Amino acid sequence: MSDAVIHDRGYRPYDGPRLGQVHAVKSLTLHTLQRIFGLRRQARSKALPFIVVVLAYLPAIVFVGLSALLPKALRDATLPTYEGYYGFVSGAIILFVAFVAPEALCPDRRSRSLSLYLAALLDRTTYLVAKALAIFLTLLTVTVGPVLLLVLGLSIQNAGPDGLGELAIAVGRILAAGTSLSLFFTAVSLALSSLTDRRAVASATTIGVLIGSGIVAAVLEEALKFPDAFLLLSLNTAPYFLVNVIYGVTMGREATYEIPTLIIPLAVAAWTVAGFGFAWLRYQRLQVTR
Amino acid sequence: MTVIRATEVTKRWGATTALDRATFTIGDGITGLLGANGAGKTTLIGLVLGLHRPDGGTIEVLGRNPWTAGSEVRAKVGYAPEHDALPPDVRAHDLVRHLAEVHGLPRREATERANDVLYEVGLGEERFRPVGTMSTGQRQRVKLAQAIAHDPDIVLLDEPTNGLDPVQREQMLALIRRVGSVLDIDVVLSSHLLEEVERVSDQVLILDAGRVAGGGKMGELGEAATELDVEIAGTASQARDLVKRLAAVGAAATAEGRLVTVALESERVFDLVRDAVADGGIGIRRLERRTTSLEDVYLAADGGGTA
Amino acid sequence: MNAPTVGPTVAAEHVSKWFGDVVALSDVSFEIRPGVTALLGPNGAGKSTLLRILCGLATPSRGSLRVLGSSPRDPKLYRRIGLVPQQEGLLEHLTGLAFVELAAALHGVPSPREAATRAVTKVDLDPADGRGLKAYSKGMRQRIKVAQAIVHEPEMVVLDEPLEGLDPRQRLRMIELFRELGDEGRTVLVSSHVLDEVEKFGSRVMVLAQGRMAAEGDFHSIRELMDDRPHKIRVRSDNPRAVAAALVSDGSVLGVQLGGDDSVIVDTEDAPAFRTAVARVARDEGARLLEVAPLDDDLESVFRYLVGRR
Repeated sequence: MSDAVIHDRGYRPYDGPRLGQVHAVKSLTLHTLQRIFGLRRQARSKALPFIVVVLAYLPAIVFVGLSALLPKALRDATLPTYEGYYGFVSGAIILFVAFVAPEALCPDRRSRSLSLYLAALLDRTTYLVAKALAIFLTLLTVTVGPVLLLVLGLSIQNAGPDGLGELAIAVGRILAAGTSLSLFFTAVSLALSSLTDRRAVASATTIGVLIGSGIVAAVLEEALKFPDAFLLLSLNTAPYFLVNVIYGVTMGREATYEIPTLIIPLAVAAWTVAGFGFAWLRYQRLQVTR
Repeated sequence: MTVIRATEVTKRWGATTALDRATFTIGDGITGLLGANGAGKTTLIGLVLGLHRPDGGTIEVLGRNPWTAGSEVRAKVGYAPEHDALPPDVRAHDLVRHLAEVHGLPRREATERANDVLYEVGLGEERFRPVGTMSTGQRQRVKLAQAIAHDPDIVLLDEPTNGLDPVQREQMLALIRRVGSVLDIDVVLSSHLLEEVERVSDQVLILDAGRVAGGGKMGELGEAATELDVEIAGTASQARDLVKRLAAVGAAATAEGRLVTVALESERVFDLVRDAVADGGIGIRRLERRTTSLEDVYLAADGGGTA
Repeated sequence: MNAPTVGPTVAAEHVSKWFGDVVALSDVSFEIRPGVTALLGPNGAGKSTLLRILCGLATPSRGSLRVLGSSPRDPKLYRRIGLVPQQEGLLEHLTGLAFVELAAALHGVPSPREAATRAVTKVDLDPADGRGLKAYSKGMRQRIKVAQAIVHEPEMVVLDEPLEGLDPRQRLRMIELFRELGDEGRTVLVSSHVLDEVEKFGSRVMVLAQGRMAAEGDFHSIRELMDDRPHKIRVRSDNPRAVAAALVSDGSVLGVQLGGDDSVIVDTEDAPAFRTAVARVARDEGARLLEVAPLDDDLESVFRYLVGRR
């Protein structure tokens, strides 16, 4: 009686578990996240995302460090609080937004592998859900992460909000603000990236539209004397108005304008819905089998 | 067992009718899908995958409606498109695993099966390389691998031998035969190369301008032939000479180059040919009853094609 | 068409081409004359390199190649050769006719529009089609590529996988077109992977394998040159045993295998002797000869043999 065994490494029928669309969406989201951060690829595809992320965290790290070094009086006088953080990193955020969505959407169309996904459990809607989720989670790393780091870093040094209650409120606001920012930019960049299969074009378009809409809004409001509310046409500043509303502050340039408080979340929500809707419509029409 | 059943299925793209009340069934084994460009094959594949909704009629895949029960159907269907569809910077193994997961396999099982299936299609060490660094032959195999990794009941292959040289083509056809028989997965093979469809398929379906123009089991296509081909090992003038000899004994024949074609009016003609050849000391390269080839059937069914 | 040059259209002598350490072509010599010649070979065998040298896009590292009596890089050759490349490279916004007309003008054709209309019609497309090339299907693009290659009535046409993407009817029509061009006295060189169709082009082939010319010339003659290798042939008759025994004692076969029902499979190393013996032997045995089918005689087997030999 021999105990030799031949291992057949070839094809075998499969009768194991078969999971559904939720698993497929999770799988694609994870795969896209890995792609965005350049994991499982060469080093140079990791460079841009990591540089931008570092840029987004840098002010937080610097402020926390300075806070540890400066005497209390100077500290309270000079260091910015968390509510104004985005002012320091809005450039980095634009860069990141213009990088992430193209990286998430365009390669599948360029390589025409979208057809393989739609021939799997995903349909055009769930495919976009997975991609949007990946983009959203990625953007959270720069919209929520650095600000949380700042607040928590300062709190550890007793330079942050007074008491646990205040801290909890601050964290809550940061999460809300960061999430709304992330959601907004996910929708806008998803829509703009759905226009093309080339990453470079999508990135340039995103930057162009974000900045361009700012210029248009500024012209309308300043030169043509339109009501201040028209500033919400600027894709690059509208979400920050909402951030201020969430933080309950009036600061920065945004504070000098008179915009009815109710209009701001409506406008941001409108842009967000429009962005997702546009992307959805584009993908409904894409030809994939030829 | 019927895998795909279409009843009066219609699909329009704007003003063009891609499928026009087409009715057919696709069952066991390897089915060749033939038709002119624009005859409706790609649309048909799209409907089977549930990517589009029919404008009329019904289509059923594995007993379900692919448009409404898309994920359930696609969990058991594999697809290898005609176009390049593989992201160049992903390693073959990672890609097949990921696509198996997106077809419903849990991660660990997907990893194991990716391994097994890449071995099955004959890719060894190459599987750890990015797909973009592979040759056309290897990429076609990766496409086939991702189509069968999740153990589908039926797999749709669109021009799987595109770009392959003759030896690679033979290997791919052997793989496809294996998929259809040994691995017991039904295959729909869409191809413009009639000879390879003839070699590999159990039955064919011919589309023309959105309708079913013909088809059937490979052995049953066309009527029995009434001509005998004799390819001689000699010169064209020896062929003409043979024609004269045959005419002298009452067998009608024509010669084209070295090929003599004799009308098979009765079984006796075989003997007349044998004797005429032996008498003339002519060598026979090939002697074969002319059969209706798939090409003849196709050209008769396909009504002239579109632009 | 211009008066043909005396001598072969293409003459290559000991052409070698290497890229660094990689030898793409090794000591290749051949002649191509008017008519249709098929260029065959596995992927990576050097076909693309050879075509590039032929069209003046690369130079041999060693040896010489003359086209229509000149070097392939001679600019005057441009008007006498038409090329159908494998890659895409069309100007998407032009209509088919406009694209071909442009090619005609570039080649110095006196009435480009008329020539373009003729060429487009010849490939079964509609000159009045107002759509841009962007809207064309793969099959239509292939045909436009052929139209631009023949619009200036060149003496030589070089086509790299011209049938890709064409459906069966379009393929047959295109093959017919090649034969027409060959019958007009042009030199047509077609690189193709689909051997069953190559057999329809005509019978001249050139087989490249691993950078070397494995065989060239008339396909039937190549086949005959291979007559001294073992052949397997199936013989069907109404008395297989008697025929088998008689063939063995006749001496032209090495061995026979009874194939079930009415066939025997014969192994022979002397195919010509077998071919003349089979009818005679059948008659002597009073057996009705129903089929003689060589099992490794088609272009496919010849190709495999030639390519696998090294």
